[in-house]
Amino acid sequence: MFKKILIANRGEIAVRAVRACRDLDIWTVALFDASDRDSLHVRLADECVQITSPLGYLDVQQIVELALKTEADAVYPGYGFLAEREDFAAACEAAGIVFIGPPSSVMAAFSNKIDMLEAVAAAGLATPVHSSVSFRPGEEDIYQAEAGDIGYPLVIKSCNGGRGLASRIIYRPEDLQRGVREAAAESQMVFGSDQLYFERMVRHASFLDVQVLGDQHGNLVHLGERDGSIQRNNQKLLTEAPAPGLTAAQRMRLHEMALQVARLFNYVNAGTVEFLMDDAGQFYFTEVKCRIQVEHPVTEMATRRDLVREQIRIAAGERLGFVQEDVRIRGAAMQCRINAEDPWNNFLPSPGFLRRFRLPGGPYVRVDTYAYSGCTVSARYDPMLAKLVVWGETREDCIQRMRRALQDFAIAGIQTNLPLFQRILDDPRFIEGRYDTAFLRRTLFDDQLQTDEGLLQDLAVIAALAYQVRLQSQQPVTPERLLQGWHRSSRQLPG
Amino acid sequence: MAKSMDEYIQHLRSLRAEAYGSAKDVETQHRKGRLTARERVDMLFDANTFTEIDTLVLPRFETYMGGKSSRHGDGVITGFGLINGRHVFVAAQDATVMGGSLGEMHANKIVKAMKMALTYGCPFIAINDSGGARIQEGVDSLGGYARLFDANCEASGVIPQISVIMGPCAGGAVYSPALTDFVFMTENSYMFITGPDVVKAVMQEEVSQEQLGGGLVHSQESGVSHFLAKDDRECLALVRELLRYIPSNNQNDPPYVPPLDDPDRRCPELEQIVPTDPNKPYEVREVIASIFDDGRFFEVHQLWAENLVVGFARLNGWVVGIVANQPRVLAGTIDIKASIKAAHFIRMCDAFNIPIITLQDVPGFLPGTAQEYGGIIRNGARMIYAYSEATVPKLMLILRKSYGGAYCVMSSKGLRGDLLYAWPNAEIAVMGAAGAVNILFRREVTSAPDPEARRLELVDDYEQKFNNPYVAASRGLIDDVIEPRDSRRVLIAALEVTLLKRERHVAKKHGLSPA
Amino acid sequence: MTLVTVTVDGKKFQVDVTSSLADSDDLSVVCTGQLRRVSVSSTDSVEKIEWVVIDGRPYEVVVDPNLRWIKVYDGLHNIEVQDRSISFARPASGDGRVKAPIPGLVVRLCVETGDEVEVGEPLLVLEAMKMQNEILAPRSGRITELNVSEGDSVKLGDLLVEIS
Repeated sequence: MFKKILIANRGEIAVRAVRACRDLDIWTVALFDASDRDSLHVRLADECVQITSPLGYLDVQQIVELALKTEADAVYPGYGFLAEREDFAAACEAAGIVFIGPPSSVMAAFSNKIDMLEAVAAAGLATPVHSSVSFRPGEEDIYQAEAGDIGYPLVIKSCNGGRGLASRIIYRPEDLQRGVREAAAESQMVFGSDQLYFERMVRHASFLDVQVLGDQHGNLVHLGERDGSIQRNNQKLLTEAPAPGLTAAQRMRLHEMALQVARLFNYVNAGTVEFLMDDAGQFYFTEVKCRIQVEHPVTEMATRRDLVREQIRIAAGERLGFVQEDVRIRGAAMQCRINAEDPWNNFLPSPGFLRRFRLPGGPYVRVDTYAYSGCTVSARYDPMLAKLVVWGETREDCIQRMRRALQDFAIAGIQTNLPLFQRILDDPRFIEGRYDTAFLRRTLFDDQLQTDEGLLQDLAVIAALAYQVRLQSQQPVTPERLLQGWHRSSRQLPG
Repeated sequence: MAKSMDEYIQHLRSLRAEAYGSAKDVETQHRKGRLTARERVDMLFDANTFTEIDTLVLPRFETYMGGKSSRHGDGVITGFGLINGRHVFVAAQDATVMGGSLGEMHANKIVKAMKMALTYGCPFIAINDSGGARIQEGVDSLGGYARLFDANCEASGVIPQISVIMGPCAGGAVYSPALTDFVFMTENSYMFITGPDVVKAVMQEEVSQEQLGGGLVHSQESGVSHFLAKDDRECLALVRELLRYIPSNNQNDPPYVPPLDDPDRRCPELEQIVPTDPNKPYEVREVIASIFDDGRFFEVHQLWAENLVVGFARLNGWVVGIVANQPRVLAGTIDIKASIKAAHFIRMCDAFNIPIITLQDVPGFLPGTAQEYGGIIRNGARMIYAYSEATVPKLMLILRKSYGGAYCVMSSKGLRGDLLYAWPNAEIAVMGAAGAVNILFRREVTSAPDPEARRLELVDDYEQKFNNPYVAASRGLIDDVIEPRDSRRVLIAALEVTLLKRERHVAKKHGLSPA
Repeated sequence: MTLVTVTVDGKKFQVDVTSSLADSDDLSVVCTGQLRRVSVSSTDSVEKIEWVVIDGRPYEVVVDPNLRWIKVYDGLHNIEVQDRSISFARPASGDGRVKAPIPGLVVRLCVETGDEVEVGEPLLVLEAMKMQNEILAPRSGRITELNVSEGDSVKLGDLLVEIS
């Protein structure tokens, strides 16, 4: 087992990794940049080291150097930043440091999305209709032709992308050029490449992820699926496991397909095989995420397995401690991705000082976060503030517990999407488990809350009181200018 | 054997208890819809800050009447406390003790509190609820009134003096409020020199107390009262609010509060509020709400002389006094009442270091025999005197019309206005176009082949040549022409540079303000 | 005494705060004619109002310092407080100046000086927290001032665009 792991990430996942290392009695090194000195992951780690490169957490070379300098024997990439960068995995391997994730050779198989889709299709699995070649924003004749072949609505994707970044849904041909330009710019910024391709959009789809784990000794298991259909900007806001809309037969087929894909690529370490399911129940393979995912705690709660721990163990060459039959999905788990943003103001990010941050508690409630009362949410990074995960014996229990936890969660100082989740959890379509990727757009703002008159009255009382407080908090002060000699002498009276 | 300390204390407590009205007296007062003096004082001051003085004063009349004094305090509560955190002295007449009648010691207590307020530079508030002079004390009582008036005059212009009428205030008693800076009345109070009985006897005129001198009458008709309140509670809240705008004395500045409103805020709505047609009325309070902090305006004399609006507001946190013509009433002309209203307000602002901002849209003085007989000349002059005399910053914004004598008297450059602005639609001239053409070109118009066409042509010509802000701007008589939306920004800039103004009068004993 | 009209989620209530805040722990507030007894965590500032108890019913609250919303246990409620002593309300759409709601980088301008815009139309795209955020027109009108260009970094509250 490793002695020391450098955590090449920040925020919530870095905190998560430090904790997993502690559980395994492994020494941790945290990275921080100038604006992150005060972050929780730095405080919790055993060692910390500043990353001075202007690229920050994206500087492959400096991070490898720091790993060597701090004598870390492994690097934990988390998600985002360098997690899916094959060159980073390769650089670590070259430097004799273990990259905690799939080997670079496996990652290379996913580096070109089109090739990957072709390979899976060749194995007999359904994939969305996609363009046969990639293109860059300057190659307009290529992409216009491809778009014509695929038809609208289509999705622009980055060949190197993930996390829904640099992805655009285009409904009309006249929006294509602008969409390509923007997606390419974003892809260049985030992934360092402007190679794009198209997929035909699957309408009324469900977004299903299957968690897989494979060790270096050829053992491969799945840990069930997650439904991440409630999305905004391709970010999964609410994720649950198991997926509510699947029959037992569908579920089995889905898991089987996931294992088939993983085997196809000789997958090692934790990964997610992602599928879309259309309204006819047909599955389409879309991609493999060769890293830990934001939503992994949902699976952890439903299976009672520590995925980050497994990642580390696998990377250290250990065997999986269990076989497929040992994996039992029990009850239901759900995760809300709490973002520092204002759903009622065009989802505008809301960085700033967290005046109050009180976590919900009680049985089967878990919050993964880097935030605490009195910390500042940086405007430089992703607005994800916390992940609220709960478990229940049944889906109903789970929903009720999530409602309660959301009520308990007290955040002041910045805007968050907490109230949005409260609406989602009260929506009858959600409660019945009938929702798809269009759910959020359709339901969010179309209706007023049904609130009883008594509460509204009490709120009116609170508002009036706050108004009074605001008026009275304006206390007189003496401005500096009025203390000057000139002014004092202007007040002197004749005689 | 010596008494124990406890016994001494018990004795003191029993004496103090006498200063409080009995439960029955309190109930009588409540039945009239009024609070007792103690309740009023408690309500007026910040919680638990009132300190009473002269609780143990005894009335003089026992010496005359041979009777034993039953009540300590002599029917008035005096003392000091905090209002919005600032020290204020008060004298509250207590109708539950001898009807609140004013005897010699009662007057002495009030005068003593006033002298203290004057010495320590604190505002003074008198709460009036009194049956009048205490007849048993005869001339001693009258002498008390005279000393009270004298103290009022002495303190005038040094500390703010506020009178709050919350019950009867009749006869000579009315002159103390009349000498103070602000008079508040409740609807349930009245003031008159002579009551309905005397009016009936002398003039054979049937009139009720309310009709003769109720709060509404004095707020609407006579202008004696500056503020009218529904009841005691609302009235005292108004007093507290007023004190947020005025300083404790004439050496201090009015309370500045850090503003919530944005100093750079544009006011595009002004373009809709003020019609360019000079004959269309509008509500000038909307203009005030648009320009000043948070739209807040604390109006003085709201119901009297409504053709001119005066009151307090804040501009980027600084207190200012606003004088504004009201085109909605009498087309915004200036009449006798409006002149008096403006003059008093301006002098008060000047005394207490409050900058004056004039919002002008005035067609001129109100014509007619009633005005001339009433002395509009003399009364209009009071306004000139007040503007000229004021050494506080004087800013002006011409919203539309500024004609003739009215131009001169309202904060013009000639009266040492500091920074004066006009909107581009302003009409600054001796008179409106139609009138001017009638005088200047009467013969030319009548002799023209088409008199009406010629007249319109001349009117047009006049408007282009004279009836705009640019003539005044070219002479430097206004300092700039600004877009309406920039009014707030510009006035804040102007106010902040003039705040430290230093100006002195020629030494004199005192001026002779007309009227 | 403060008299206000409060609109909560589109419903209007007349509320009178009858006691002065400094007075006591228990405040009297009259809401639609009904006297309510209220205690509150702090009356120092709006930010310090963390809980309110109304007639024995506790609420944990977050109140927007600009009084546009209140958050309670069941989510966010839009409010609007109109002081009844101020007779003239200013337009809610503001004065036409659009300021940066967050610090960020101007990645794209959607309008030019002189353009006519409708309320809700995107004016520019501001990148912050790794997100591209469209800044929308708060009111209709003509762009009279455009203070930024693509690639500019802006601070919180910087004036971006002026619409008249």
